[in-house]
Amino acid sequence: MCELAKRGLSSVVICSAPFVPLAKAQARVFGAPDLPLVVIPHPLGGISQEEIHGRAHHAVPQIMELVKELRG
Amino acid sequence: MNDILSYIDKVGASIEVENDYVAINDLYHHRGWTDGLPIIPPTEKLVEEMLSYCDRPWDSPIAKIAPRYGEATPIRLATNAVMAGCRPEYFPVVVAAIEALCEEPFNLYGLQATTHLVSPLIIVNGPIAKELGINSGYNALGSGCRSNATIGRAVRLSLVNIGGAQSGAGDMATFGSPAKYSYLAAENEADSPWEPLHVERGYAQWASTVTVIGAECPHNVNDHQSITGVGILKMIAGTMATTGNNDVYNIEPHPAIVIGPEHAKTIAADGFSKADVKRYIFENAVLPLQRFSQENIERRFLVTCKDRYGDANSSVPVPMVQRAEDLLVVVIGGPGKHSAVIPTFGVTVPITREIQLANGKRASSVEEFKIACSDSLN
Repeated sequence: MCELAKRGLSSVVICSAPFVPLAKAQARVFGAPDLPLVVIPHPLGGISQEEIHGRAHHAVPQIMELVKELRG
Repeated sequence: MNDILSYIDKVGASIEVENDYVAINDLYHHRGWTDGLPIIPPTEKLVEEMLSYCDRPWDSPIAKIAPRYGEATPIRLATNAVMAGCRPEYFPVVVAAIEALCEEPFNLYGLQATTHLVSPLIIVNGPIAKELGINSGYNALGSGCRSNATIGRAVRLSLVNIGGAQSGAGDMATFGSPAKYSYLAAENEADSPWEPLHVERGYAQWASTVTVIGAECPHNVNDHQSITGVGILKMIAGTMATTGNNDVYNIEPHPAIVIGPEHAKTIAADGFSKADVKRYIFENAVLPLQRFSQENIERRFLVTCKDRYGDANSSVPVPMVQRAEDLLVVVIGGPGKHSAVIPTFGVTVPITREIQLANGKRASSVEEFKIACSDSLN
């Protein structure tokens, strides 16, 4: 994802809250410290189909907003 | 090339502290540079002594350690080896292990950052294992032997301090395992009825190697009753067949079987080669699909392996390994009627690497590293 961002493509990473420190550290390591993160509720495993859809509904508007911003 | 004084003059390469062991340890703990145990302060003198067994450029990376992809230079590795309590002659094994761990198929990034409790298991083969007194007998996977404890610990400290595997940031393990302090043993080649691991994997008998495995802690196989090879193998296969291990969910897992020398002798006496052992375990370490929860059947097996399980009944066998040859079989331990099963992270390939001099020549003794280092300095 960092490579895509560095090539100028609109890129966002979706992760659950406990993984934010890892995601931010990795973005720094791979040279894209400002890579946008969309944070969704934890966990991703052991949840029902309804909860999975809930995570998607949580993420999609944020992704759309970020993509608009990135495209200026 | 190998001048430690010019290195430590670089900004951030060294710190000045009060000459107080307790205060230094408090500082190292406070900065997150330890595994929680006390360290030996890595002074310039001790790091230089450690590097006296390194015949490579001390400040040139031999690998990059995920997830931070920090450069593993000999100076940095030697610093961690001093902190871990290694004797200088252990250092060539630390270097070889780090090189093996950083080979792409091992997937160190996955191991370091996962929520799974995996830690690298390092198995040492060949004459250097014997020279360094690496324990292959009583308690080989436990405590009590300096080379086992400190080489393994040096690797772990390097993974944390150079690789950035801090808990909750680079290391997301839900609860980790005791193997994250140190996890290293030699194969008990003398008491094994089979070819050693490194020979099986294509190296000469007189080569010394490290083999790294992305491993869970050992799961014991107590078998004091079986007096036949097939009896013991049935018990090993039964111990291996569990629902919650990572190997059962992955495409090409390489779980390890540690066979105690007494069990190995009985198995081999009944005519089983290593390949036969693997074949038996592959065929018999299976569980009927119904032993998994309905959610796992529907949301995992029927999604990832629909061809195999799609129209099958609930008693179809689920294998723990996909091919017999993917199993690792190694003989470790002292007397006793025990063996062990070691599941893995699943998405990791074991790597074997020879402990070689910088010029690519075989090292039959670690002292060759010291001579080569001395030659390079003169």
